[in-house]
Amino acid sequence: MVKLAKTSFGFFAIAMQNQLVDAHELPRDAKKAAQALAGDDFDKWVSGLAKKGYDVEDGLFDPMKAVELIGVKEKEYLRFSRLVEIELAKILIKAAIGRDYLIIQTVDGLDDLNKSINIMINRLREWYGLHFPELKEEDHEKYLKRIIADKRGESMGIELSGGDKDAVQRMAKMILEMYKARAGLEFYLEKLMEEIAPNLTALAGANLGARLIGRAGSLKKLSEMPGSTIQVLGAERALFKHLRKGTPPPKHGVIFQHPEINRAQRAIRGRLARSLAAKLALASRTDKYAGKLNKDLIASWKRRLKEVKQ
Amino acid sequence: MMKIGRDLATENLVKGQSVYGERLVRKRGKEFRVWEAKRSKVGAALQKGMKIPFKDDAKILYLGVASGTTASHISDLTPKGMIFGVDPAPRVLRDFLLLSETRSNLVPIFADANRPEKYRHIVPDVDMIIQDVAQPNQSQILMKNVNMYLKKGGLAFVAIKSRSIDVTANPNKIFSEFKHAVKGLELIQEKRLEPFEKDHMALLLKK
Ligand SMILES: C[S@@+](CC[C@H](N)C(=O)[O-])C[C@H]1O[C@@H](n2cnc3c(N)ncnc32)[C@H](O)[C@@H]1O
Repeated sequence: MVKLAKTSFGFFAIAMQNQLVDAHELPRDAKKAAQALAGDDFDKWVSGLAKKGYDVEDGLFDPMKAVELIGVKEKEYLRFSRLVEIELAKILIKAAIGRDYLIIQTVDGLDDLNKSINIMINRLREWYGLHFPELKEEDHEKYLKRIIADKRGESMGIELSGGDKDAVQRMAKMILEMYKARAGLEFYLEKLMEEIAPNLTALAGANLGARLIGRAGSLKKLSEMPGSTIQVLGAERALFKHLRKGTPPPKHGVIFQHPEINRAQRAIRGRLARSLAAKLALASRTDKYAGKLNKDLIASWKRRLKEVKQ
Repeated sequence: MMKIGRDLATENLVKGQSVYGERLVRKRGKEFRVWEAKRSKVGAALQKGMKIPFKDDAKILYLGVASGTTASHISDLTPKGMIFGVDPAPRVLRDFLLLSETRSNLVPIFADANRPEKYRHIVPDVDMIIQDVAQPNQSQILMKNVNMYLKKGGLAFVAIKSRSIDVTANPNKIFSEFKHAVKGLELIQEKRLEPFEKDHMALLLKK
């Protein structure tokens, strides 16, 4: 029987009385050693041992004690292993961050952008209102364009000098740019969602699909959730209150934004939300592991929708 | 470690570095970092009177290290030691990695503490385990790591958040169930963490 040690200095097979019987040393270079640890070098070495006829014990030997057998002292062990682990963590973190993280930043970015636009529009309506209070224009973008055109007739507003106008018009132009940026981000989000989560997108639309990924934390996490959890994503407060105080459970979280759910009659809304959530659970798994659009899934949701509505 | 006003503070291992926005204070020619008890469960337990011995050369396995708020103070306290910080969340571990590059006694480990064999290539037997994972199965996670890594006579500090285990149950019931689940270890001290954290308890256990 031999015990195995996997360390940043190499892989070692250790027999009774701490006798080293086989060793596969790694380069004493933190990056190279980390690459070896991230790959399948260890597993290959272990199967090699089996071929050599060694009987391998379960579990791993204390790595620091193992490297003593090749003359590496504690201080050197800790110094070098730390550097290797930093490199290894870089490799693993990079591999763990998929393109779905771009989706989350994009929807959150869109929310931030919308909030900023709203704050600034309100400011500008007050500001330009000093000059042209009679201007009735509900549509924000059109209002901004009117500021830039700056044509007013009879008005009780104050006069603006050239410099006064520049200031308010510069602000208006900037907000119009923000509208353009928003349209660009929305288009980008659609493309990103179709690429990464085509099934979620087909069922829920890019925006809602992206929000579900965001609430879950990643596509992987969403794909591990049962439908019942997906159904109340975004309603965590109500859910905890239900569990602690016995208030009625929430029927839906962000999936309420789905047009079929928010348009549905109250009586069937809960049932619809439950079926949609179940389909979304399947969709996220398909997106995570197959990555291709599954038409049957979409068709089965359409069928279900008909049944419930009847 | 010393008191600055009502707060605890640790002598800064990296001059001029504030890790999470904590105040730096100079005293007797030395620089200290204020340990905010509301941001750190170990800090809260110390404030509540728990005595946790930190040897300056201790090897510590920290489960649920997050971005290293607490680990940074323990790093100050163990200049000749090594803290192995485990967390499976990439975003926070990235911050801890960047912190580790500035402090030579920190090691970032991107792994799930449910699978302790995943870091046996780096973590040796340790003097102490700190666990702050806020997970329903945290007693199980603790025992697996204790069995694989903690030296005989070593200490384990655990922060238990009763709501992470079961939102509906009475915290006292959760705490006593937890103690029962780890009864292979000797219970040395226990402290509730109010007012710093609600429905939290810290235990110091010995193998
Ligand atoms: C409350 S935070 C820890 C805060 C940190 N201890 C501090 O005081 O600075 C809990 C952390 O546990 C981590 N965690 C959750 N499950 C875990 C697991 N199975 N193994 C290791 N860490 C886990 C989470 O990613 C999160 O970062």
